[in-house]
Amino acid sequence: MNGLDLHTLTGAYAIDALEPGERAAFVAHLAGCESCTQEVAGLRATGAMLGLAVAAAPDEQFRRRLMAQVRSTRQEPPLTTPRADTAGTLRRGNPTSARMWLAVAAALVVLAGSLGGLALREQQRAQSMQQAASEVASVLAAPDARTVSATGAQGSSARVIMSASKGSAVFVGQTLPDVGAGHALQLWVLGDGLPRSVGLLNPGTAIVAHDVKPGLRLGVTVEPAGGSRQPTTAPIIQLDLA
Amino acid sequence: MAASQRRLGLVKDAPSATSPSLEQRALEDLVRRVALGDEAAFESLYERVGPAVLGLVRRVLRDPAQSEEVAQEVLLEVWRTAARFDPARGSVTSWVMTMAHARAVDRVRSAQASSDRDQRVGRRDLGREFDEVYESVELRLEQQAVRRCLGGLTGLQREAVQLAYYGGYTYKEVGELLDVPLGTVKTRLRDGLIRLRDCLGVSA
Repeated sequence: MNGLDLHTLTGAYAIDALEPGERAAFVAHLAGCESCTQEVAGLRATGAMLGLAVAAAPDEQFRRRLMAQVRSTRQEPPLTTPRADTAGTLRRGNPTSARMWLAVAAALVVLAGSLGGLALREQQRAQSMQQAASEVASVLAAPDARTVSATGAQGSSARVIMSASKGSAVFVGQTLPDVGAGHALQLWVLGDGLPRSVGLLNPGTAIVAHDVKPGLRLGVTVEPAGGSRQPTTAPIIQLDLA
Repeated sequence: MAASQRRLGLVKDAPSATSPSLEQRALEDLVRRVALGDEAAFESLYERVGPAVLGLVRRVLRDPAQSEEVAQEVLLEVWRTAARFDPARGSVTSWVMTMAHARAVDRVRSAQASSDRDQRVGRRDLGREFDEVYESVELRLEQQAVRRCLGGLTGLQREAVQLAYYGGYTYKEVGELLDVPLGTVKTRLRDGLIRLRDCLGVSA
């Protein structure tokens, strides 16, 4: 599915009519699509009007039960940013887009949790997801974060959000081919000596590449299931880290 | 009735019924107070959004007992998360109704509810979206506008939007029900919502 196809999902997404897999892919797409984000907000507000049109009066008992629950329910604190340095960069940025990035980061981490190839125990998995969450958020919120998009072979497309100051890049595989059970997609840092493996990918996943700098490239190759130490095929897609 | 008819006459020239308004600012103010733990403010907010939440959840779920349970969850979530409401991202109404719709749809799609699925709205019910509605003048104005704007959609746009929104079906299920290709459903849903948005003068 290319970017244009994804864009037409704004309607279905806004009124909860996507299935979970597509929903995840669309959320990843929203990361770099400001116009989609705006369109979704408008279509959600439109859905709200459809909802208002079918209002039904609750009875008195409903109100009493609700108010009793309210009195015994603690409220959640406002959202604050997780780390001091992140908070600083967020305040400097555009507040709306910074909030959007954080929401996106949270969504991407859910996606990152579906990364295959590693048989970690649940606890380790949870820890690594949490770590990935703060890494992704910190790159997305960096003041020098830049987005690079590319399309490649087999209709693939991907986006990288790069922060030179953090030396990190978040890779979002927007559309990657289904390579079947016997193969895996592997992400590499290219252009600085031997290719260096970042990890294995699934379509719609996000992953953070460390120790990267402008001038290097990220590339995705098709490898045997479980991945390889060095690429065994030519990259199907490459992105220049600007 | 006569009074509300006169009010309805006004709505044609007064899109303010659906655009950001004093009402929205009053709602924002209530949410700010709710965030500070003000139960009276929550009760006022409930008076304004409660009927819409219950009505929508009931429209999607049909089952009265389940609907009340889910509507209570939604309203309690409004109480719990009021401090996280962000007016820059949309109106109070949009925030609350988005939660209500998502929760209702989650309930529909959970395995638990799968056996109730057949009892939910089918094609034959589509003409009956406006029965049993809550009678208040403001809502009547909005109902009128929604009905008029739904009337301006093509048949396929209207059916797709109503099945997805009121029926809680995924667009793939909508495609099955209407026997049209998925790409068509996807674009009709989007076109239909965009046309509704423009007709209703909705801003995010």
